Amino acid sequence: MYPTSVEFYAYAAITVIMVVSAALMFLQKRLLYSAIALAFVFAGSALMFLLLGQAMLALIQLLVFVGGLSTYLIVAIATEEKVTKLVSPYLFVIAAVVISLGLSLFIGDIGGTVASGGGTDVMGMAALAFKAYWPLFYAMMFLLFAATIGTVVVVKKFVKLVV
Amino acid sequence: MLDIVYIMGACIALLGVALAGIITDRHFVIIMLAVEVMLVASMVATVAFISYASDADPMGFVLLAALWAVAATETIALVTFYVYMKYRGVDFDVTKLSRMRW
Repeated sequence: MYPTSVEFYAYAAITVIMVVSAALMFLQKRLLYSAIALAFVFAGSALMFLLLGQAMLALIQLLVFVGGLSTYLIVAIATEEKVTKLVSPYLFVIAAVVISLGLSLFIGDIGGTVASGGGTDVMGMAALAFKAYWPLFYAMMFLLFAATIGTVVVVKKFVKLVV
Repeated sequence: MLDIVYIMGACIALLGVALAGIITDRHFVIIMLAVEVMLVASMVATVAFISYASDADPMGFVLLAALWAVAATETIALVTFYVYMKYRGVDFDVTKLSRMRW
């Protein structure tokens, strides 16, 4: 007996998007397309968090990984690969509009859910970060800070920026 | 709510694809991206356990934050290595890498 709920179909669609994107990452000839496929894996994981009832964590995943890291990775690779033109830029605009409309239609109350913590005890997490496990969180911050400074040093040394 | 077995199945599928990519591909950047996919699979598994547990241990959130930090650091390090290797003219084929300094 297989589940037939909407939730199950949503789960199946997200899983297919994630696994196919992960597979396409290795099957692409160009690095840029692999980086774009990774962005889809990140987006799929954010949707999976949403499906699990963790709207707050999904929002963090979307903002940090899709909005931040994927953009950083794609821009870095595109700059080095000397890409003249990818697909049509209009395609990305259309995709962004369709995804935004879809999200606003199907998850209309997501704003309220996120504002109320979205299944996550936000205050509890803050207490963990700043009270109980502060050395761990400081170690994470130091790790990110060191990596960022290292990147700036390397890029400054090798890349001649033309302003 | 869905059974946790389904979520674990998705995580294992993702982990399997990433592992297959690491085994079959020799490109440095692709291997680093595959490790990133593995970290995503572990993030989904962690969030699934946090959501399904009736009284989740706070260490789950700490583990998730640690995974976020490691994944972000890996991406930053990947771009650094990519720029460094590109400008030094180092081959991206990992089987041809024999030393850590050029």
